[in-house]
Amino acid sequence: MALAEPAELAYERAFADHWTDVFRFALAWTNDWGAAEDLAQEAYLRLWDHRGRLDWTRPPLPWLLVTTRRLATDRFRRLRRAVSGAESTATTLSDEATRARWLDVRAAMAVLSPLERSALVMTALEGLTYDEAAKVLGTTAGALRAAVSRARTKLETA
Amino acid sequence: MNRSPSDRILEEWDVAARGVVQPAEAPRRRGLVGLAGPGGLVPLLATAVVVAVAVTWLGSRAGVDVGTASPTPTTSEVAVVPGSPSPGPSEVVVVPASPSPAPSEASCETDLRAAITSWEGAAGSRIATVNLTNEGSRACVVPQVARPSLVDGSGVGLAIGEWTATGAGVELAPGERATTLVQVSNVCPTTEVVAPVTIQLDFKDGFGLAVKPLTPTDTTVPPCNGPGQPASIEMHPWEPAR
Repeated sequence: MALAEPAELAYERAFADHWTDVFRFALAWTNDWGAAEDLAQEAYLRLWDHRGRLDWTRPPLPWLLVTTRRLATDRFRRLRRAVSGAESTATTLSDEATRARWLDVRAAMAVLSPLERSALVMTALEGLTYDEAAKVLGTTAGALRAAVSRARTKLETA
Repeated sequence: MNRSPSDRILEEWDVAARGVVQPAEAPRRRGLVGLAGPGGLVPLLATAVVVAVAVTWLGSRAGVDVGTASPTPTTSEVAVVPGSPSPGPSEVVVVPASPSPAPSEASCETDLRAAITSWEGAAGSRIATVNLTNEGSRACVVPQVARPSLVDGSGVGLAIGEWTATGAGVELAPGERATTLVQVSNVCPTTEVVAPVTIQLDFKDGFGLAVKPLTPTDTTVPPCNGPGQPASIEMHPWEPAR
């Protein structure tokens, strides 16, 4: 059997190691399970397209998260969902307990903007520093700190 | 110790998000693009084309006088481009037979980055200078028809423009920039404006560019001159940046 190319092996490893991270970031940004699945899928397809040109000696997760954010900030997607007004079709939300839990927490997180949700999740749950999260979100550490503070306040008073 | 409401919501979010099921296989692009990478079908086809061209060329040389025109592929040729600094091998791609690759609008989606470099107030309006940079590695034609919008950080459209012809396609070499002015007026938000306020550019072929805001905390919008009247947003044609 022929050996896989190094770039393909690196791509497979990135999928095994980071797909959940990418999904969770997309979920935080969109607050939409189905859209997060779509974004994670598309981000990995972009990684697949670029696999021959990436420096695989560097961690691929920052590249994946920035790509996911750029894809997510496409207003075309947002308006399409705003018009539909409903959660996108989720392919892995079949378990009833998970679905019920998600709908509750989705409603609670809906008071936050995408930046506030992402900033809060990345720093409080994913363990990123303000500087690291700010780079992914295309903003400054100061603005990110303010977004986290606003998010906390909104959730406390909601 | 009692958890705060925000910690409790975050914990529930964490538990819910752990319920996701990772796809069994990593996504791979189907079709020519997906086949063009290392290990794909295109390298095999490319190798076959190289062999066929070589055989044809050798055959023609064997049968004719030296000095006749050497054969060239008619529809496409195969080029081996140097490998990237990454550990991957050299990549084989199929390129058009033209002397140099034609600029491709299709490549713009991933290669173009836009940023607001200034906002200026003017008689009830705000005018943004928007720079567009080709951050890719090949020339790129800026799509000729675009629709500008003013959006806030939560994706609310504060002003939605019309499809606008932005001039004959400006071609950007790697690293080159184009610039335009976007004028916005009469924005009367019905909800709190979330930072950052920025401009979104949609193009006719379905992709959009979120323009990097001037600052990540910008919530400034033009004055509301006529409540109940629609907001206005217009963009000028692209011009090469000096």
